[in-house]
Amino acid sequence: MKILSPIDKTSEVDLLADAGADEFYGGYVSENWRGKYSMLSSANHRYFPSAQIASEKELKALIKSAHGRGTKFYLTFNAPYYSVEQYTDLLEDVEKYSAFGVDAFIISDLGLILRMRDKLPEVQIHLSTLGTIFNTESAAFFHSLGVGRMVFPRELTLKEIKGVAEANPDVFFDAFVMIGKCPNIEGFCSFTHNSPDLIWPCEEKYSFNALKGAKTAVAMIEAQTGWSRVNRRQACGLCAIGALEDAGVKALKIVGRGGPTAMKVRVVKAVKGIVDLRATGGNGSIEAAHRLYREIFGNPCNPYVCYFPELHTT
Amino acid sequence: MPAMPPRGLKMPKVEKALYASALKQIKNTKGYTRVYFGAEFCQWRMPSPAAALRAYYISSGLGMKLTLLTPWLTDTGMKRAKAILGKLADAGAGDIEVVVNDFGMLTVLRMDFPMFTPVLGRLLVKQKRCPRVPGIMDRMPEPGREVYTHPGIEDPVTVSFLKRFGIRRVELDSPLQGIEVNLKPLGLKGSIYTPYVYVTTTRHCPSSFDGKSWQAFVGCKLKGCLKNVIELDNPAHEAGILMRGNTQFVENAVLPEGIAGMGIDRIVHMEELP
Repeated sequence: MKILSPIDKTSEVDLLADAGADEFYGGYVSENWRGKYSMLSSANHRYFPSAQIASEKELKALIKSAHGRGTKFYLTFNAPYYSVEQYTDLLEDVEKYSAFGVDAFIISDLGLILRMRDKLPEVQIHLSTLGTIFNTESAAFFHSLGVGRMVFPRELTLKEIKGVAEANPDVFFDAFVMIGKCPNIEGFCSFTHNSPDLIWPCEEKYSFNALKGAKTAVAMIEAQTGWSRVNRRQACGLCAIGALEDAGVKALKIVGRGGPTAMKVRVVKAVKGIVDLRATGGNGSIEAAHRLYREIFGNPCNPYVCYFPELHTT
Repeated sequence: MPAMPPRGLKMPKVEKALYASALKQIKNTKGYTRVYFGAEFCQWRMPSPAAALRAYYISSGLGMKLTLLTPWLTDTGMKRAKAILGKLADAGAGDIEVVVNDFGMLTVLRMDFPMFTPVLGRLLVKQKRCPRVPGIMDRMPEPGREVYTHPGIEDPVTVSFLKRFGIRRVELDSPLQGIEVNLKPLGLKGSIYTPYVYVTTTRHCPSSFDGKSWQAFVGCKLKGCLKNVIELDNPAHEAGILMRGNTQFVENAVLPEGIAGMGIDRIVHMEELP
């Protein structure tokens, strides 16, 4: 099992590789893009500067450092969609950053995938979770376009993941295991993520009114209110790692572009700990997962931020 | 007084469609020539094969065409969707449209059910519809704003590819920041939904949460979506969010001016939240 870690700067390469990361992914929005479209129309679905690699010079250095550690680096161009004008800039950027040594591009937009397949067929494409491969046929759809690696949506059960992976044996699948669980389906969500306080519409506090079913809506309101009581950046699927490997998942993806370095390191170490425990035939990985969760976040896990709620035990 | 078209110039005809999530909603059909029936957002709200066929017969009996709505699908949901399509195909209902919100379903239609006409659904049209968008529009240069005002389905490369699957129609919303689109040069037609604008959807359906787990992951029996609608208010938003089942909407009854000129020839009217 590979561990795919977010990364934002060159100084994180050694720290994360030492912690156990096998691969890295990050985002960079060029100065040209920022000036022309602004960060509110980011090319990579992160709309705040701290989630971006700071400069082209830094991007080059990061790639060199990652390759020096024998790890690969993938660049995100995973906005949900682009304007027609933006495709010209995107293709230029993909070509340029490929020459920097980017090993693959993480993409969801069909128009960009089609253009890259046509104009830059040698460039590797990974399908972002925004590609919404919820079933066997949708994974086969993108595979037929030359996409060899895909990230599952966050909302599939282990059984469902296994079914899709078994039916698409030539695809390399990633699954999220830590940080950043969305209340909504990211690939279908049209909320903006550009508030300066980094609190998104899905996690902010609302006042609720029952418009229909005044009595029965109480439970619904209570359930929806729960999202504002948890920190979705404390999401976890550590105890599912063994089952994910059995299901055919080849890489464990950690969310967290723009997150603090220390948290990235702690989380990579935890994932690596469970992977190693399983690889050495050690028992007790679920107990270890619960212990690691408490160590990282200081509180027990709960079903809202559990990546595989079917495994959650109170 | 609205401007009249020059004498002899034919006004473009806009079809009116009625959105029905359940059979009992196929009523008061005067003025409508088409019924949208099914579920866009939840595979557990798809009709049974028998109910889908019944919807076909009812709408045909009323002289209306049928558009079947399908949601995003897991493998389990795909089996259920195929059963519905199989029932309609066996009954010879080859004149229906099927709205797809899942690329897997698009391939299934082309391979197994080529008699049906696929339509690109709202979940596969990625335009931002967040109620915060109007508040950020003036913070972007024009090329950035265009990303928010255009629905993201005007790329000739994408459209050409989707046409190989039979797509000739796309389903659009009228978001709070407005919509600008010109489908005509692309050889597409558009439908625009009113008044409920899709915003987001989840599998963590609060109507299916029993305090410990979400039944929407395994097969929802609570069906709270049929009983409850809630409003989520936040002062940072231009409009309140309306939530039914697993899906959130904003209400916007304002349609863009000159929709026929945009290539939109159908209005899909929702009498209640989907």
